[in-house]
Amino acid sequence: MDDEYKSLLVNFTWELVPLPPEQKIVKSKWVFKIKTKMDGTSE
Amino acid sequence: MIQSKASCKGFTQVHGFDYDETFSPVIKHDSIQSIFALAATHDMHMIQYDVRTTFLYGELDEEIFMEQPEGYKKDEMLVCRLKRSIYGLKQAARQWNRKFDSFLTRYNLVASSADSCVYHSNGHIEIVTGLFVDDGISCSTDETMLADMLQYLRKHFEVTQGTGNYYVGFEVHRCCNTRSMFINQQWYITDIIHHFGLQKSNPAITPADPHTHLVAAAEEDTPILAPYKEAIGCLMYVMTLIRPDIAYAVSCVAQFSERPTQVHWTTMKRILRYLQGTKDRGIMYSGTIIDNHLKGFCDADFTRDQNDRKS
Repeated sequence: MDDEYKSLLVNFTWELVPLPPEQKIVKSKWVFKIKTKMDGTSE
Repeated sequence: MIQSKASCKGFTQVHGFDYDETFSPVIKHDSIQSIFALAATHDMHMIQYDVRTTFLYGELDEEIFMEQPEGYKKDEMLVCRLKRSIYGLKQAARQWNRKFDSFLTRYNLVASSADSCVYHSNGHIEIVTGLFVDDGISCSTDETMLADMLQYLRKHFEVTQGTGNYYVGFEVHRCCNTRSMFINQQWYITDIIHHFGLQKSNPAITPADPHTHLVAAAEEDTPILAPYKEAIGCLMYVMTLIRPDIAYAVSCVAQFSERPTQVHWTTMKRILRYLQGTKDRGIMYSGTIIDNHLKGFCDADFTRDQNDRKS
Protein backbone atom coordinates (compact mmCIF):
# COMPACT_ATOMS: atom_id res chain seq x y z
CA MET A 1 0.00 0.00 0.00
CA ASP A 2 2.89 2.34 0.85
CA ASP A 3 4.60 1.42 -2.41
CA GLU A 4 1.45 2.10 -4.35
CA TYR A 5 1.03 5.48 -2.67
CA LYS A 6 4.64 6.36 -3.43
CA SER A 7 4.30 5.39 -7.08
CA LEU A 8 1.21 7.60 -7.34
CA LEU A 9 3.21 10.53 -5.97
CA VAL A 10 6.22 9.82 -8.17
CA ASN A 11 4.01 9.77 -11.27
CA PHE A 12 2.35 13.07 -10.33
CA THR A 13 -1.07 11.50 -10.48
CA TRP A 14 -2.54 14.36 -8.47
CA GLU A 15 -1.72 17.54 -6.65
CA LEU A 16 -3.13 18.63 -3.30
CA VAL A 17 -5.23 21.75 -3.57
CA PRO A 18 -7.95 23.36 -1.47
CA LEU A 19 -11.39 22.50 -2.85
CA PRO A 20 -12.74 25.34 -5.00
CA PRO A 21 -16.22 26.48 -3.93
CA GLU A 22 -19.18 24.91 -5.75
CA GLN A 23 -16.95 22.03 -6.86
CA LYS A 24 -17.98 18.43 -6.24
CA ILE A 25 -15.54 15.76 -5.12
CA VAL A 26 -15.30 12.11 -6.08
CA LYS A 27 -14.78 9.73 -3.17
CA SER A 28 -11.88 7.33 -3.02
CA LYS A 29 -11.16 3.89 -1.63
CA TRP A 30 -8.43 1.31 -1.50
CA VAL A 31 -8.98 -1.86 -3.48
CA PHE A 32 -7.20 -5.06 -2.46
CA LYS A 33 -7.02 -8.07 -4.68
CA ILE A 34 -5.28 -11.41 -4.40
CA LYS A 35 -3.68 -11.97 -7.77
CA THR A 36 -3.84 -15.56 -8.96
CA LYS A 37 -2.03 -17.31 -11.74
CA MET A 38 -3.79 -19.32 -14.43
CA ASP A 39 -3.79 -22.50 -12.34
CA GLY A 40 -5.38 -20.79 -9.34
CA THR A 41 -2.31 -20.54 -7.11
CA SER A 42 -1.37 -17.17 -5.71
CA GLU A 43 1.56 -15.34 -7.25
CA MET B 1 0.55 -11.59 -3.58
CA ILE B 2 -1.95 -9.00 -2.49
CA GLN B 3 -2.22 -6.10 -4.84
CA SER B 4 -3.43 -2.76 -3.53
CA LYS B 5 -4.72 0.05 -5.66
CA ALA B 6 -5.90 3.53 -4.79
CA SER B 7 -9.18 3.77 -6.59
CA CYS B 8 -11.97 6.30 -6.79
CA LYS B 9 -15.69 5.69 -6.56
CA GLY B 10 -16.62 6.30 -10.18
CA PHE B 11 -20.33 5.87 -9.45
CA THR B 12 -20.31 9.27 -7.76
CA GLN B 13 -19.28 10.90 -11.04
CA VAL B 14 -21.88 12.90 -12.97
CA HIS B 15 -22.24 12.57 -16.75
CA GLY B 16 -21.48 15.77 -18.66
CA PHE B 17 -19.79 17.18 -15.60
CA ASP B 18 -16.77 15.04 -14.84
CA TYR B 19 -16.98 12.49 -17.63
CA ASP B 20 -18.37 12.28 -21.13
CA GLU B 21 -17.66 9.30 -23.38
CA THR B 22 -16.67 6.04 -21.68
CA PHE B 23 -16.52 3.49 -24.52
CA SER B 24 -13.19 1.79 -25.00
CA PRO B 25 -12.57 -0.82 -27.69
CA VAL B 26 -10.85 -4.18 -27.15
CA ILE B 27 -9.68 -6.65 -29.77
CA LYS B 28 -12.26 -9.12 -31.06
CA HIS B 29 -11.61 -12.80 -30.51
CA ASP B 30 -11.83 -13.40 -34.25
CA SER B 31 -9.04 -10.90 -34.78
CA ILE B 32 -6.82 -12.64 -32.21
CA GLN B 33 -7.32 -15.91 -34.04
CA SER B 34 -6.60 -14.20 -37.37
CA ILE B 35 -3.30 -12.95 -35.94
CA PHE B 36 -2.43 -16.49 -34.80
CA ALA B 37 -3.29 -17.82 -38.25
CA LEU B 38 -1.25 -15.10 -39.94
CA ALA B 39 1.74 -15.78 -37.70
CA ALA B 40 1.52 -19.51 -38.42
CA THR B 41 1.12 -19.33 -42.21
CA HIS B 42 3.80 -16.67 -42.71
CA ASP B 43 6.09 -18.15 -40.06
CA MET B 44 6.24 -14.84 -38.20
CA HIS B 45 7.92 -14.08 -34.89
CA MET B 46 5.40 -13.37 -32.18
CA ILE B 47 5.74 -11.52 -28.90
CA GLN B 48 3.27 -10.93 -26.10
CA TYR B 49 3.59 -8.11 -23.59
CA ASP B 50 1.59 -6.18 -21.05
CA VAL B 51 1.72 -2.68 -19.68
CA ARG B 52 1.83 -2.22 -15.92
CA THR B 53 -0.28 0.30 -13.92
CA THR B 54 -2.11 0.80 -17.18
CA PHE B 55 -4.86 3.24 -16.34
CA LEU B 56 -2.53 5.66 -14.57
CA TYR B 57 -1.10 6.66 -17.97
CA GLY B 58 -4.40 8.10 -19.17
CA GLU B 59 -4.76 11.87 -19.34
CA LEU B 60 -7.90 13.65 -18.28
CA ASP B 61 -9.95 16.13 -20.28
CA GLU B 62 -12.04 17.14 -17.29
CA GLU B 63 -10.99 18.66 -14.01
CA ILE B 64 -11.69 16.10 -11.30
CA PHE B 65 -11.29 16.51 -7.55
CA MET B 66 -10.96 13.42 -5.41
CA GLU B 67 -10.83 13.04 -1.65
CA GLN B 68 -7.46 11.98 -0.26
CA PRO B 69 -6.99 8.23 0.08
CA GLU B 70 -7.76 6.83 3.52
CA GLY B 71 -4.76 6.52 5.80
CA TYR B 72 -2.73 9.03 3.80
CA LYS B 73 -4.57 12.26 4.60
CA LYS B 74 -2.08 15.06 4.90
CA ASP B 75 -4.33 18.03 5.51
CA GLU B 76 -8.07 17.64 6.06
CA MET B 77 -8.77 20.83 4.10
CA LEU B 78 -7.05 19.72 0.90
CA VAL B 79 -8.31 17.50 -1.89
CA CYS B 80 -6.54 15.76 -4.78
CA ARG B 81 -6.84 17.45 -8.16
CA LEU B 82 -6.28 14.59 -10.58
CA LYS B 83 -3.70 15.14 -13.29
CA ARG B 84 -3.78 11.58 -14.54
CA SER B 85 -6.54 9.06 -14.80
CA ILE B 86 -6.93 6.67 -11.85
CA TYR B 87 -8.54 3.24 -11.35
CA GLY B 88 -12.29 3.47 -10.87
CA LEU B 89 -12.92 6.54 -13.00
CA LYS B 90 -15.58 5.96 -15.60
CA GLN B 91 -13.37 7.23 -18.38
CA ALA B 92 -10.21 5.41 -17.21
CA ALA B 93 -10.25 2.66 -19.85
CA ARG B 94 -11.09 5.08 -22.66
CA GLN B 95 -8.39 7.56 -21.73
CA TRP B 96 -5.82 4.75 -21.55
CA ASN B 97 -6.83 3.45 -24.96
CA ARG B 98 -6.57 6.93 -26.49
CA LYS B 99 -3.14 7.40 -24.99
CA PHE B 100 -1.76 4.07 -26.19
CA ASP B 101 -3.42 4.53 -29.58
CA SER B 102 -1.63 7.86 -30.03
CA PHE B 103 1.71 6.22 -29.29
CA LEU B 104 1.13 3.39 -31.75
CA THR B 105 0.00 5.89 -34.39
CA ARG B 106 3.19 7.88 -33.82
CA TYR B 107 5.10 4.67 -34.47
CA ASN B 108 3.49 4.63 -37.95
CA LEU B 109 1.04 1.87 -37.17
CA VAL B 110 -2.48 2.18 -38.53
CA ALA B 111 -5.59 0.89 -36.82
CA SER B 112 -7.45 -1.59 -39.01
CA SER B 113 -10.83 -0.47 -40.34
CA ALA B 114 -12.28 -3.87 -39.38
CA ASP B 115 -11.06 -3.85 -35.78
CA SER B 116 -9.76 -0.66 -34.17
CA CYS B 117 -7.60 -2.70 -31.79
CA VAL B 118 -5.58 -4.32 -34.58
CA TYR B 119 -2.72 -2.17 -35.84
CA HIS B 120 -0.49 -2.80 -38.82
CA SER B 121 2.29 -1.05 -40.68
CA ASN B 122 1.17 1.44 -43.26
CA GLY B 123 0.81 -0.05 -46.72
CA HIS B 124 2.16 -3.54 -46.63
CA ILE B 125 2.02 -5.89 -43.70
CA GLU B 126 5.31 -5.91 -41.86
CA ILE B 127 4.15 -5.83 -38.31
CA VAL B 128 0.74 -6.64 -36.86
CA THR B 129 -0.29 -5.74 -33.32
CA GLY B 130 -3.39 -6.62 -31.35
CA LEU B 131 -4.42 -4.88 -28.16
CA PHE B 132 -6.69 -6.08 -25.36
CA VAL B 133 -6.68 -3.17 -22.86
CA ASP B 134 -3.12 -3.61 -21.54
CA ASP B 135 -2.29 -6.95 -23.15
CA GLY B 136 -0.57 -6.72 -26.48
CA ILE B 137 0.42 -9.26 -29.08
CA SER B 138 2.64 -8.44 -32.03
CA CYS B 139 3.97 -10.45 -34.89
CA SER B 140 6.36 -9.76 -37.70
CA THR B 141 8.58 -11.68 -40.09
CA ASP B 142 11.45 -9.52 -38.89
CA GLU B 143 12.46 -10.12 -35.27
CA THR B 144 14.40 -6.85 -35.02
CA MET B 145 11.28 -4.86 -35.85
CA LEU B 146 9.53 -6.39 -32.85
CA ALA B 147 12.48 -5.60 -30.58
CA ASP B 148 12.52 -2.05 -31.91
CA MET B 149 8.83 -1.57 -31.24
CA LEU B 150 9.16 -2.97 -27.72
CA GLN B 151 12.06 -0.64 -27.07
CA TYR B 152 10.00 2.31 -28.30
CA LEU B 153 7.09 1.38 -25.99
CA ARG B 154 9.43 0.90 -23.04
CA LYS B 155 10.58 4.51 -23.37
CA HIS B 156 7.09 5.67 -22.50
CA PHE B 157 5.47 2.83 -20.56
CA GLU B 158 6.46 0.12 -18.11
CA VAL B 159 6.17 -2.90 -20.37
CA THR B 160 6.76 -6.51 -19.37
CA GLN B 161 7.22 -9.17 -21.99
CA GLY B 162 5.34 -12.42 -21.45
CA THR B 163 6.18 -15.94 -22.51
CA GLY B 164 3.70 -15.88 -25.35
CA ASN B 165 2.15 -19.13 -24.14
CA TYR B 166 -1.00 -17.41 -23.03
CA TYR B 167 -3.01 -14.53 -24.47
CA VAL B 168 -6.47 -13.32 -23.32
CA GLY B 169 -7.78 -16.76 -22.35
CA PHE B 170 -6.09 -18.64 -25.19
CA GLU B 171 -3.34 -21.11 -24.42
CA VAL B 172 -0.86 -20.97 -27.27
CA HIS B 173 1.43 -23.87 -28.15
CA ARG B 174 3.81 -23.19 -30.96
CA CYS B 175 5.97 -25.65 -32.79
CA CYS B 176 8.54 -23.95 -34.98
CA ASN B 177 9.75 -27.17 -36.63
CA THR B 178 6.39 -27.91 -38.15
CA ARG B 179 5.49 -24.19 -38.40
CA SER B 180 2.26 -24.82 -36.59
CA MET B 181 0.33 -22.96 -33.93
CA PHE B 182 -2.06 -24.79 -31.65
CA ILE B 183 -4.50 -22.97 -29.39
CA ASN B 184 -6.80 -24.39 -26.74
CA GLN B 185 -8.50 -23.48 -23.47
CA GLN B 186 -7.71 -26.26 -21.04
CA TRP B 187 -7.71 -24.04 -17.96
CA TYR B 188 -11.06 -22.51 -18.72
CA ILE B 189 -12.70 -25.87 -19.44
CA THR B 190 -11.25 -27.38 -16.23
CA ASP B 191 -12.60 -24.36 -14.41
CA ILE B 192 -16.17 -24.70 -15.64
CA ILE B 193 -16.22 -28.46 -15.03
CA HIS B 194 -15.25 -27.77 -11.41
CA HIS B 195 -17.79 -24.97 -11.23
CA PHE B 196 -20.63 -27.32 -12.17
CA GLY B 197 -19.26 -30.09 -9.91
CA LEU B 198 -18.56 -32.62 -12.66
CA GLN B 199 -14.87 -33.24 -12.05
CA LYS B 200 -15.51 -36.81 -10.87
CA SER B 201 -17.96 -37.80 -13.60
CA ASN B 202 -17.08 -40.05 -16.51
CA PRO B 203 -16.04 -38.36 -19.73
CA ALA B 204 -18.43 -38.81 -22.66
CA ILE B 205 -17.04 -39.67 -26.07
CA THR B 206 -19.52 -37.58 -28.06
CA PRO B 207 -21.15 -34.23 -27.21
CA ALA B 208 -24.69 -35.53 -27.61
CA ASP B 209 -26.56 -38.82 -27.84
CA PRO B 210 -28.01 -39.12 -31.38
CA HIS B 211 -31.02 -40.99 -29.98
CA THR B 212 -32.06 -38.27 -27.56
CA HIS B 213 -34.61 -35.91 -29.09
CA LEU B 214 -35.26 -33.05 -26.76
CA VAL B 215 -38.79 -31.71 -26.49
CA ALA B 216 -40.11 -28.70 -24.61
CA ALA B 217 -41.30 -29.31 -21.04
CA ALA B 218 -44.97 -30.28 -20.75
CA GLU B 219 -47.34 -28.53 -18.32
CA GLU B 220 -47.05 -31.30 -15.73
CA ASP B 221 -43.24 -31.54 -15.88
CA THR B 222 -41.41 -30.00 -12.98
CA PRO B 223 -38.68 -27.59 -14.00
CA ILE B 224 -35.35 -28.24 -12.30
CA LEU B 225 -33.44 -25.79 -10.21
CA ALA B 226 -30.07 -25.72 -11.87
CA PRO B 227 -27.77 -22.99 -13.22
CA TYR B 228 -29.00 -23.85 -16.72
CA LYS B 229 -28.58 -20.48 -18.43
CA GLU B 230 -25.23 -20.01 -16.75
CA ALA B 231 -24.04 -23.33 -18.19
CA ILE B 232 -25.25 -22.32 -21.67
CA GLY B 233 -23.25 -19.11 -21.35
CA CYS B 234 -20.07 -20.99 -20.43
CA LEU B 235 -20.51 -23.52 -23.23
CA MET B 236 -21.25 -20.84 -25.82
CA TYR B 237 -18.07 -19.03 -24.85
CA VAL B 238 -15.97 -22.15 -25.41
CA MET B 239 -17.93 -22.98 -28.56
CA THR B 240 -17.44 -19.63 -30.30
CA LEU B 241 -13.80 -19.32 -29.29
CA ILE B 242 -12.30 -22.69 -29.82
CA ARG B 243 -14.69 -25.62 -30.02
CA PRO B 244 -17.04 -25.57 -33.01
CA ASP B 245 -17.52 -29.32 -32.49
CA ILE B 246 -19.99 -28.71 -29.66
CA ALA B 247 -21.98 -26.07 -31.60
CA TYR B 248 -24.86 -28.34 -32.58
CA ALA B 249 -25.21 -29.90 -29.14
CA VAL B 250 -25.18 -26.47 -27.49
CA SER B 251 -27.78 -25.11 -29.92
CA CYS B 252 -30.06 -28.04 -28.98
CA VAL B 253 -29.93 -27.46 -25.23
CA ALA B 254 -30.05 -23.66 -25.61
CA GLN B 255 -33.60 -23.90 -27.02
CA PHE B 256 -34.99 -24.95 -23.66
CA SER B 257 -33.51 -22.35 -21.37
CA GLU B 258 -36.92 -21.02 -20.37
CA ARG B 259 -38.24 -24.13 -18.56
CA PRO B 260 -35.53 -26.77 -18.42
CA THR B 261 -36.32 -30.20 -16.95
CA GLN B 262 -34.07 -33.00 -15.75
CA VAL B 263 -33.71 -34.40 -19.31
CA HIS B 264 -32.42 -31.08 -20.61
CA TRP B 265 -30.00 -30.71 -17.71
CA THR B 266 -28.66 -34.24 -18.22
CA THR B 267 -28.06 -33.46 -21.91
CA MET B 268 -26.27 -30.29 -20.92
CA LYS B 269 -24.06 -32.19 -18.47
CA ARG B 270 -23.18 -34.60 -21.23
CA ILE B 271 -21.65 -31.76 -23.25
CA LEU B 272 -19.60 -30.80 -20.21
CA ARG B 273 -18.55 -34.44 -19.73
CA TYR B 274 -17.56 -34.55 -23.39
CA LEU B 275 -15.40 -31.46 -22.87
CA GLN B 276 -13.87 -33.07 -19.81
CA GLY B 277 -12.55 -35.93 -21.91
CA THR B 278 -11.39 -33.69 -24.74
CA LYS B 279 -10.31 -30.50 -22.99
CA ASP B 280 -6.83 -30.56 -24.51
CA ARG B 281 -8.29 -30.26 -27.99
CA GLY B 282 -8.26 -26.96 -29.82
CA ILE B 283 -7.54 -25.38 -33.15
CA MET B 284 -4.38 -26.02 -35.10
CA TYR B 285 -3.11 -23.40 -37.53
CA SER B 286 -0.70 -25.02 -39.86
CA GLY B 287 1.90 -23.10 -41.77
CA THR B 288 2.65 -25.83 -44.25
CA ILE B 289 -0.81 -26.58 -45.57
CA ILE B 290 -2.08 -23.48 -47.30
CA ASP B 291 -5.58 -24.04 -48.56
CA ASN B 292 -7.57 -20.86 -49.03
CA HIS B 293 -10.75 -22.54 -50.17
CA LEU B 294 -13.72 -22.18 -47.91
CA LYS B 295 -15.47 -25.49 -47.42
CA GLY B 296 -19.01 -25.92 -46.18
CA PHE B 297 -20.79 -29.02 -44.96
CA CYS B 298 -24.42 -29.57 -44.25
CA ASP B 299 -26.76 -32.27 -43.07
CA ALA B 300 -30.52 -32.41 -43.34
CA ASP B 301 -33.31 -34.63 -42.09
CA PHE B 302 -37.07 -34.71 -42.34
CA THR B 303 -39.48 -33.41 -39.63
CA ARG B 304 -37.06 -34.26 -36.86
CA ASP B 305 -38.07 -31.49 -34.50
CA GLN B 306 -40.81 -33.01 -32.36
CA ASN B 307 -41.98 -29.61 -31.09
CA ASP B 308 -43.10 -28.08 -34.37
CA ARG B 309 -42.32 -30.81 -36.93
CA LYS B 310 -39.78 -28.70 -38.75
CA SER B 311 -36.85 -30.41 -40.35
